Amino acid sequence: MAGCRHTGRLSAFYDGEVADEERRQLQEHIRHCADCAAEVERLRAISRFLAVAPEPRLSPAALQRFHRVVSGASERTVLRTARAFAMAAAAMVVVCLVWLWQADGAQNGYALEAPEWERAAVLQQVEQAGGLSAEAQLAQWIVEDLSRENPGD
Amino acid sequence: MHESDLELLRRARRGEDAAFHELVDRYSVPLFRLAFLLVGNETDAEDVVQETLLGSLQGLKRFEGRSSVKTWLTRILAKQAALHHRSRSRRKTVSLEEAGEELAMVAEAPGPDSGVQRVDTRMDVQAVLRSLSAEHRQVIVLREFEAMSYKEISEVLDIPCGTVESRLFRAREHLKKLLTGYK
Repeated sequence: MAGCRHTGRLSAFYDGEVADEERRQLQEHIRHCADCAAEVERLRAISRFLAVAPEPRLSPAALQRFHRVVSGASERTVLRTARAFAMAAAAMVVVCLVWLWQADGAQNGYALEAPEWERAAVLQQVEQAGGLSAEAQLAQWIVEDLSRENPGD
Repeated sequence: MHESDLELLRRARRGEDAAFHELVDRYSVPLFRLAFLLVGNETDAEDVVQETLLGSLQGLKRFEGRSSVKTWLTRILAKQAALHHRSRSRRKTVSLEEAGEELAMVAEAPGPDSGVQRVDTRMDVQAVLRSLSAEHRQVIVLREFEAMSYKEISEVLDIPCGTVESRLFRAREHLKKLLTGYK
């Protein structure tokens, strides 16, 4: 870059974005440096050029469209939230129903899946001695004994 | 009573639609102006503003209040303008020679009393802005038209202040070459 070594800082200086001390030094320097003074003037010319651009006009129809679109988006957000809550509630109902069904099934399945001796003790069913395992037989005796008016006799 | 932007935003977050509509009224024009400078035509600028307003409505709960509402909206708009630019894929890089020719034609146009000057000036500025890269155009527009500080620009564009400074420097170097001899 030709010219003064301070030229590279003039853009930030022009924008007021240098520290106070540097700003004072550059201001003093510019008073005595034709290159830097010309550079600052070129930056001002750029700003003047850009400043004369006419303002584009936002039409009333466009502004109304913005309001319509925003309203529509708000309504969709409310509906989406309501739908999400409804789905969550439905999911909870399904989970509860499945849990209840499984709990009921587990209770009925207990008698089928429990060990033989436990079935005999819990259900208090006296079965044929020949068909029972040793543990089931023991359980049966205990049940029969507890059933007497005077257990241990 | 004139409510602050922040208070309107808080009310909008609580579900008061009227508050957000008030923000739409307040910011549509300045956002449109900024969008126009960034994308170069009114139709695209309207689309960018619409997307910005929708994006801000959806992002209401994420606004943390660390920047002003204006900076927050400008940030969303800058991103939308960049997305719009990329999706269009019509970026014409106007060379310095082409931009210079366009400017030369305008320089010979009728004088201030003719009524043509106003339109030509707008073409001048748009031609010049089009000749900049998207990154340079962003910083020049935010600095020269929005008078944002480097810190504000860095927040809007999510880049360091040093990067803002260097991009502005390079953008102005480009503009100086383009405007040499243009009075």
